[in-house]
Amino acid sequence: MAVITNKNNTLLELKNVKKHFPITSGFFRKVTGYVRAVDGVTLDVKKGETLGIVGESGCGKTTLGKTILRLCSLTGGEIRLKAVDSGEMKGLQDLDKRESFEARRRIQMVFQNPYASLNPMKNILSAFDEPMKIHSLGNKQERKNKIAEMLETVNLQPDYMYRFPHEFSGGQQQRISIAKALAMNPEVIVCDEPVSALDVSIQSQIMNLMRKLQKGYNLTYIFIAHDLSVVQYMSDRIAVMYLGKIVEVAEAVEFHNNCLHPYTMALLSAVPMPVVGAKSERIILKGDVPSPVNPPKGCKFHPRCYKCIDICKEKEPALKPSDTNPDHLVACHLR
Amino acid sequence: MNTKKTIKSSIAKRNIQKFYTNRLALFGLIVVAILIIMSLIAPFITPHDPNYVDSYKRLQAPSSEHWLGTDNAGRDLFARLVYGGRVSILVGIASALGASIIGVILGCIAGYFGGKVDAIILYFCETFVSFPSTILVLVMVGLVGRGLSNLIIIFCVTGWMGVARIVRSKIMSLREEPFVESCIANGISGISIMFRHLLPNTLGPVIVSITLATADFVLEESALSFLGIGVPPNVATWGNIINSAKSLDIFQNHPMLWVVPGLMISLFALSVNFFGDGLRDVLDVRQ
Repeated sequence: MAVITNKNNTLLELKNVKKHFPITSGFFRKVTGYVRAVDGVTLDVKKGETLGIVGESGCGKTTLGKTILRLCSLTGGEIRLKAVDSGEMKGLQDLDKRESFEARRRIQMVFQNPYASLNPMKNILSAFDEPMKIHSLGNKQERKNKIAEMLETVNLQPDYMYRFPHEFSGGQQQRISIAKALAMNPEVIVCDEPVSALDVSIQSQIMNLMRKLQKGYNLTYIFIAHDLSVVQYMSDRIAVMYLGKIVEVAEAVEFHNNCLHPYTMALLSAVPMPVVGAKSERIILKGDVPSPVNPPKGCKFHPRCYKCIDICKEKEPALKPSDTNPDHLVACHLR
Repeated sequence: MNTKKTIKSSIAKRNIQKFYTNRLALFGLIVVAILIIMSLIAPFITPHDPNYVDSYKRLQAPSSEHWLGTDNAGRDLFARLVYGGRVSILVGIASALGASIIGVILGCIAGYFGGKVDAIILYFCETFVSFPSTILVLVMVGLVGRGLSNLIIIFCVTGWMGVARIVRSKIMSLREEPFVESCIANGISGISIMFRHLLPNTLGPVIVSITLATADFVLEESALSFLGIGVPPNVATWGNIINSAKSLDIFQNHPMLWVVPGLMISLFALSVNFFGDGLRDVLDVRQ
């Protein structure tokens, strides 16, 4: 029963999504290999939730975000978005021209570097206005009122719209990026490390703002970050990525209390405790992340896993529900 | 509405102020403006015909009638200078703008699309660069013949490579920026991204290179006219004036005939460069 209601609530569906970047060498640019940045990711994103995606550098989180934004083409698999009118799930590649354009409005983004995500030569008004104009969101005056309203929503003065990006601080710039995404009336916002370039006090300010906006505008966030404490604070569900694959997905509380994958355990053990004298048992992983060009056979985590058994070296575990909780997915032979 | 107006005018005011405080740029603008206005209103500031030959008045010293004297054909030097400015400045500015437009468009396309398109455009660019520009111009003059409009077209065709390379490299680095990704993700078209989002970010160096090119083309026109293959010799240009002053006697005994047009060329080139520098600073919103 629970599975069915979840299904109806799904807004975005990733089915075995793959993105491989070819490596070319030599004069004739012969393809000698592939960087398997995203290598078969299957995920559901439910309406109104925040799905956190964590993982270390180079595990493919950003590429995954870019495939959802259609900034890079897929090597394999499919991304499906719920259609507005019929409610059926349609692959982003199969959409007709109008729907495809509409989907670009429905999925918005907030990037890591707030200054670089705004055109330095355009003032806020024209930066906001162009995408709104091509998506025909109201006439000139309506769009301007909307921009003013959005700036007020993120606690900035409306007449800041005549200023240029360099005239703002980092936190203000990030709020402007959020307002820019919001002005398009989106359903999903892909947040790629939205707070990692900001200092801690601004981080909490931005995160609280984002949570407030989520309630107010019924937004769905895909929150990509490398900082577990940030992700745990923001997310309803958390997915852990390792070397282009999802190794564990669980609701935030379950994730914190009852994680099953050894990699997740190692990650969680590395989060510092805000308690004086608290001692946690840190799990130190050996070695480095293997190259995504040439991933290890079997479970991709096995060379670094402290629980590795023979089967891990041979067979890659599938992402399956755990024994106790059907919403808790984990890809490990030992779960 | 009201705030918008005041803020917009305050930006304009700030830009004017920024330009005004740059004294060299202001000097450049004034000199360039004076030279352009002088050549435009030439008939009103000199009664003489620049091409009227009066063999009784050859090589006269400056007088109240002939302000800068006359040349070896008895033509009034001042009249030739102001009328010559028309042609020289026109060639300079038109060629620089034309070449830059070609360069900007090709550079934008090459930088934005990359890959094969970039390779083809770069190949053309390098082919053009690998000829010495004077030889290339000589060949093209031989092909299409002399004449003012031909010269401008030839300068455009042979002068776009520098701007194209600047724009291409700038756009290549800019197109990886997140703000471009955000444009793509919003469904903004490639042409709009190229010309409305990326191009304004490259304008600083482009404007400097336009002004440098203006000065260069004025000099090149003079050089070609001096060699006798530029603008036809019956048309007064700054280069043709120097060209008609190349005999040893004039060189030694009547320096006025080559020093003054030489100074005009240098003054124009220098002022245009100062002006270009100032313009770049004003257009950079970050400063």
